[in-house]
Amino acid sequence: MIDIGGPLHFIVVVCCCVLAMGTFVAASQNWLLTRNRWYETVALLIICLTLFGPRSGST
Amino acid sequence: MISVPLTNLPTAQITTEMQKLPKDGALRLRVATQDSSGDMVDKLVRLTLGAGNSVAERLATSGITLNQVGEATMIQTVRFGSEARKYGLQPGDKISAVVVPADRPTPYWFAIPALVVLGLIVLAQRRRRERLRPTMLQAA
Repeated sequence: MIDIGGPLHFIVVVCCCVLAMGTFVAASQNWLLTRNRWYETVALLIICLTLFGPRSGST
Repeated sequence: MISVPLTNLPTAQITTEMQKLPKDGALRLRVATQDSSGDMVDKLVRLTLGAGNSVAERLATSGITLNQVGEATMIQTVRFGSEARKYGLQPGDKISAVVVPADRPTPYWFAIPALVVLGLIVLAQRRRRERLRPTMLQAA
């Protein structure tokens, strides 16, 4: 994989991405543990983009 | 707050930067070259630098040799079938900069506030679910 520094970096990337996907699903289904308030959906989308975000070079 | 991920260094520093790279490290070069239709383009290539005893030997693993012409650093030869060849580098191309990762805090810090907010939402929803449960049971 391009620019993955080591096993720890790999684990962080995978965990962040899985969580980000989870939050996207929660936002699009309007349901995390129970029905979302509208501001929770907005927050979930922002969290999703933030967790997907930091890709480029930390090697 | 916003910091660039990569910075350009003058080609004079290519040797010192290459010595810092580990085996199979990424050497990023900004190269003035021609595309397939003959137009001049500025290209950023990422070469994988293998092991070797000297800078020249390591450069050879990715398929190029360099030549210093006055101030300018040019590509002298490109080995057939090499990585450099695949990226379309040609003899005579001028290297305009060595591109290295900028010295900046890791972007993963941003994950922490995101995870905190996510945790708060989970707590809030858990509390709400507990409160709703009796009424949901009645409805069922």
